[in-house]
Amino acid sequence: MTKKQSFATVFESLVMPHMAMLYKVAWRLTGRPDQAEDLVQQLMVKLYPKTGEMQKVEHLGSWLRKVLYREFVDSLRKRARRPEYFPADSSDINNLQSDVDDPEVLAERAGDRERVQRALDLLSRDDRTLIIMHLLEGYTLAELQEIFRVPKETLKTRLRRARARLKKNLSQ
Amino acid sequence: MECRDIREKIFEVIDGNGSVEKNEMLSAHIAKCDLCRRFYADAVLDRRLSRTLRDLPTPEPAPDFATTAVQYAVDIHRFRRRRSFFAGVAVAVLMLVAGISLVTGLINPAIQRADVMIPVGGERTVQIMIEAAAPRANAKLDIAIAGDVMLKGYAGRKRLQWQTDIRRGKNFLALPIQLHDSAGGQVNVRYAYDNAEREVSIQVRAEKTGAAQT
Repeated sequence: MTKKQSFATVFESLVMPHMAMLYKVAWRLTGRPDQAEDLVQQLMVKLYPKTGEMQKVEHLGSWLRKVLYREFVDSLRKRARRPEYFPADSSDINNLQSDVDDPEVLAERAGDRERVQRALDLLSRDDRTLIIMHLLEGYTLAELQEIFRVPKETLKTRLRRARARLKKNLSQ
Repeated sequence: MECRDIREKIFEVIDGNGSVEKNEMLSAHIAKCDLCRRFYADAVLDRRLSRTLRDLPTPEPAPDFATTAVQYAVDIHRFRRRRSFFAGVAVAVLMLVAGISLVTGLINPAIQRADVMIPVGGERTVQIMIEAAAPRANAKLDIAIAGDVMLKGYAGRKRLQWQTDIRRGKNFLALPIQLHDSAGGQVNVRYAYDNAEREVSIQVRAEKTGAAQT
């Protein structure tokens, strides 16, 4: 076995056990199977030269998950073509009031998988990303701040707006 | 107890699957504090959403997706090393590997560059390999030609654009490049799918030939 083959084999043995998890996370972020595959493949190409570094990572699954988030956020940032990913403007927050005022009704609807999936699909890609990372993956504001590299207040505003949109979608 | 403490308690109760209503102190505070009541409603909603989101079904990727994606990463890096060896060397056929599936989501195209040497008045076929992890419908191809080069069969054409479907796996685009003058030229191949773009820039230079060669 050549040195290059060994390197490839090591890379494969490191990432293969995590591919299903990475695809799942990528799908949640993108909401589209083809984009999820693209995102994971894009990540693999970037990771291959870092095989040595990956060998030293203790919790590789968590590490890979975080790198995937960064990759996704970077691609969003490039797509947005703006230096700051999140606009701080919250002027439309009042227009995002839910049609359903009763918190219990909303909470009940939040337990309906189909309804939640629909509400999620109606969100913009940016909002969806925040909701998934915060509510599903459990990232705190401080962690999100590190990943998105934006001021905490901006992030809070953005998150508040994303949740308001999700609630509005749930109430429809 | 301050609102901040109340909210911490609310989290504790919800995380422990308890009921705030059963906690006298919390329910009394919530009954009279609008902000904490809203906070409590949001916290319940968030927890419920988190659970539901975790339960949402995820579609399965293509059966060989994991193997293909990993192998692709290995191949593309191996090729990059190999390409640097061939760069600038006169080869009859130059293979460029590019992966359209890699760049979905990127606006700024990743540009690959390569040099190809052709004798003045001669022709070489450059093959561009586009390897895709999944089929792509209506990918846009755009070829721009500059300088004293042309594509055989397209005399005088400086721009060629068309749409095509890309199959899963390896796709080949053969470009029969002719060089007319020692100044050389350039052929840029750009292909796009959705918002993804990739560009291959081929710099055509004149190959120095012996006296016997025309």
